[in-house]
Amino acid sequence: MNILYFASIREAIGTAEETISDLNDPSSVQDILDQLIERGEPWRTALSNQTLLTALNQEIVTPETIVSPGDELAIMPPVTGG
Amino acid sequence: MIIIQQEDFSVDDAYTKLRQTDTTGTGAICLFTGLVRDFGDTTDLHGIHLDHYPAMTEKALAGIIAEANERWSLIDTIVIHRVGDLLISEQIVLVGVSASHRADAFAATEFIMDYLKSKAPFWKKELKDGQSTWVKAKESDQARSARWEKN
Repeated sequence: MNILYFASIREAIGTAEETISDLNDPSSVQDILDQLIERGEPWRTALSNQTLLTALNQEIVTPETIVSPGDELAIMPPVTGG
Repeated sequence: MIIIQQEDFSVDDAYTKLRQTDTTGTGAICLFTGLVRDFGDTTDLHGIHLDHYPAMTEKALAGIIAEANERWSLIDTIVIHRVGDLLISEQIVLVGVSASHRADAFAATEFIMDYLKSKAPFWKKELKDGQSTWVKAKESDQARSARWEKN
């Protein structure tokens, strides 16, 4: 699946996008976050020390949502536009 | 109408468009604009940078506008949001709503703006002395948005 990082999270991780292929079936958004955090730095600090917003295929979802291999998962800090 | 762009926008053009949608049934138009000010999380800012999630931004705004149309009787809506680098006093965002009655136009404009600030994927960075700092989300914005949640 394709993972997109935005704003402060993108800067902390140092990349805007990555693809992960080793998905357990089934996996939830929270499982993906845990999998990324387990890699250690910089994911650990970027993804575990703040409130996150997650969107699956451009729709805001809760961490319990089940993901599929072809999905686009966006991991974002709380929004601050307007 | 939803427009995401780097360039500045014209309030007059947005107003003219809203007047033209229904030239006989429109009784009220409410326009809101948000501008860049020289303070935020810190003072003496030079400007801001606005980042967004292009594939999702328009979808999120369309969802907010659809919800406004379910709640109030509206004729037309315009949301324009700029991205990229903006200097102090520049326009950031415009929300325009036309309706037959002012109560609908006022309420929907405030609702769209409150939801945009808590749900649309935009992020601000404050620019000062060659440094840039991401703006922290504010609880007051979340609280304003929560007022509209249905029980």
